[in-house]
Amino acid sequence: MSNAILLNWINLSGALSGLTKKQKPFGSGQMKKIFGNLVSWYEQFTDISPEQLGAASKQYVPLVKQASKKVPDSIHGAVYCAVDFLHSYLEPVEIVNMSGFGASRNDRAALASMRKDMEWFHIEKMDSLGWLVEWLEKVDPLFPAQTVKNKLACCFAGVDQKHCFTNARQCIYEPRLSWIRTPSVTLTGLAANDDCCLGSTLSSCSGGTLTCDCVSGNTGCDCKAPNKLCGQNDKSMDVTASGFSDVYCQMLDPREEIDSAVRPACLVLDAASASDCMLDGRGMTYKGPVSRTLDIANGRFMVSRSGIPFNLGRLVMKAADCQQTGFCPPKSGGCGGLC
Amino acid sequence: MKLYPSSYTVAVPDRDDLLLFNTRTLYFGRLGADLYSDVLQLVDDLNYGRAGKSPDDDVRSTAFLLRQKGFFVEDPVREREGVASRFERRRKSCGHLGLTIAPTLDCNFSCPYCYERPERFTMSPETVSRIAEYVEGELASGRYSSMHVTWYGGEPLLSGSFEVVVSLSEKLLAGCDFHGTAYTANIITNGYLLDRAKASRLAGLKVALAQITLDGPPELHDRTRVLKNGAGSFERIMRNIRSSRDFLRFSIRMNVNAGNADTVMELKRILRDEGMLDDQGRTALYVSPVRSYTSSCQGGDCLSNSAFYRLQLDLLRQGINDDGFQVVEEYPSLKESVCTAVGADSYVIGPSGELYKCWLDLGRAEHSVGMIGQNGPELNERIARWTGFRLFDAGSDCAECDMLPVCMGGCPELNLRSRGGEDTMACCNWKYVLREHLLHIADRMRA
Repeated sequence: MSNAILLNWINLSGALSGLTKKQKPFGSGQMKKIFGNLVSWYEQFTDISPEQLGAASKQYVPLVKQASKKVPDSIHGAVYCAVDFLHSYLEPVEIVNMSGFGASRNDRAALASMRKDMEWFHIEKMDSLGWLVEWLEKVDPLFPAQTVKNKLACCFAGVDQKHCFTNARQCIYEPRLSWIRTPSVTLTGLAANDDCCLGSTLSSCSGGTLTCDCVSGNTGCDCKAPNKLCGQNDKSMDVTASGFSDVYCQMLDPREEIDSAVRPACLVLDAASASDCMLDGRGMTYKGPVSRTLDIANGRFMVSRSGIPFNLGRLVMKAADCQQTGFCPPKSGGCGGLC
Repeated sequence: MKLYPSSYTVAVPDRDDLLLFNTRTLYFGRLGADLYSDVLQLVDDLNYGRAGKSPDDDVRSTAFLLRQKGFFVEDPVREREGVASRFERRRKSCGHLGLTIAPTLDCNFSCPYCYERPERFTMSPETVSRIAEYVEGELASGRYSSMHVTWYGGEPLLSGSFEVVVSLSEKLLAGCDFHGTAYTANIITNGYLLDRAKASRLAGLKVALAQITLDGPPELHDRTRVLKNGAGSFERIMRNIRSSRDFLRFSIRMNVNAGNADTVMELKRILRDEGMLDDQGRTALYVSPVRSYTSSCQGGDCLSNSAFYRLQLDLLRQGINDDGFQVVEEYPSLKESVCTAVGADSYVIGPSGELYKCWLDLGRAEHSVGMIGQNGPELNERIARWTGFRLFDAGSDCAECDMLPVCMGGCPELNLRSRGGEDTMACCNWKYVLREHLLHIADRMRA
């Protein structure tokens, strides 16, 4: 599912609608116009049909209204929505950049051309997002503006062998704080290593519905209400959006030397095959197939091939590996009938 | 606006790093201790309007992310109240009726640690009718979209008692069917009488899962899970489980005390050999401590809370979950379920139609909160003990506890007892072992 850019823009629009005029970067008309621009991004860079995109456009106003109820009316709520948007906006161009490493000469040229088209779109249609970063910098003293500016410049600049990693091989924009992966459920439709529901297990579920509000981006997803359901050994979960997650940045231990002889770090994993490393950190050489959803020759993401319907509603996913079926009172911490 | 460290952040030093875990958001990260100290300095500078030197953007982005993930909050009081109000929201029924029904307190077993007082008495047809009428009235009110029954005892599959399970289930199912209410049921049984015919009948009555206790491998199980004549029960229970697996899912509980604590892996091996761990989630296994809720721990075999939780940690280190079949909870999760004792619209119903809120009170008339009368529940003043339960009441340590989101006060009965200084068994495992556990998880992830 690759509606993350549009969905995050809707969330941001919803969050901004609750702010005062003084707090907002600009009005709702402008927000809608940018949404239209983003729809045109999908027209240009994905295989999603114009009919589907037209239908998505018509949903903008009611969806913003809906989103405004979910997002807290606070400046921080809006800031986080903006950051989620930035993540999802940058993700496709990161994929294009990363796919360029070690690709064949022809492919590299095609990818460079695609990146160039994206750069044009970014500058011409999105005004380089300077207005968004400036607004974030103004309203939030903790917003890491310089890092974000660097990343935008890096990802959209056509510089050979420049890539979106720091010397510590972390994706730029990721601070030196690594999230520790925890055992989580396997979700149908999500890659095994997906960060969705980071930090949650389903081990103590006992009735309800697990709801994850997942947004794309390298830091993964927020699980808003983990552990609510697991009635009959299955769970259903709502996922608002996932990203172009064929390729993503692996979380790395920053202390590990880049030329580690013991275990060359993998910078980019192929999410379709968890064990495949697409970009080797030692030689910066491309190892695996190009992102499966990337049609290099045509400069488009093959989103509809992913098999997950494109829509702006909530996507219901099923998972089926919960073992803890527990009664109420549950097994831990509570009362235990020793029968 | 000022920022404060979350009340629910647990910081564990790990060499030059810090492991940061937030029990409210469940985010778990590693960062350099120096970096964290810079983050704290930055937050402090911002709070007091000090310009300071312009912070490294790495410090800024770390602070940003930590705030985003709940490690810093704007209002710590509101943060704590938010957790307490989550508990209060969960207590409300939300359209769910939950009943635990014990058709009898009689049992064919004589387990040394049992806290119940066996009585050779089975629920009468009149009581069955009164319960069915009460439920019918509730369903007709339109307040409930779902109901769940846990069949409990004594032993609910004893002759006479099983007939109550059948007749009452039929009535409840008919009522739910008529009112369009979703119905689910489980049963807690010792498994000795659960033959294939009974399992089939139960499945037909929408009983989906049976909880059965196995106290370790046969030689140990047969010491504690004994018939009244002293005979063991392991082989027959296993035979029953084998023959019923296509009808019911099983949740196998192992009551652990000092005598069998070292045999959890062995029981798991037995279940694996039986193919029960590869049956697509139809069987669960978990361990539970034998606790001295009552005077049932006289043998001195009970594990202290900390000893039990240490056992769980040891089991994880021994790789109890490594084959992908989870026995011990690997990672803290938010406590979302609320005990029937303090939840709304949930009762434990004894064989005479007497009502309780806590399972431990079953059969103790002095703790009953009322009766199922002609016109539904007739409650007495003891109900106030449960409806008045608040996490942050005076005498409770919960308000200041960083484990609250993953514990939610633990067992309400024990929580209430602890307020009088009687004991502190209410607290959940994480209070004792979280720090050590986080180091264990971090090590595993690193490996």
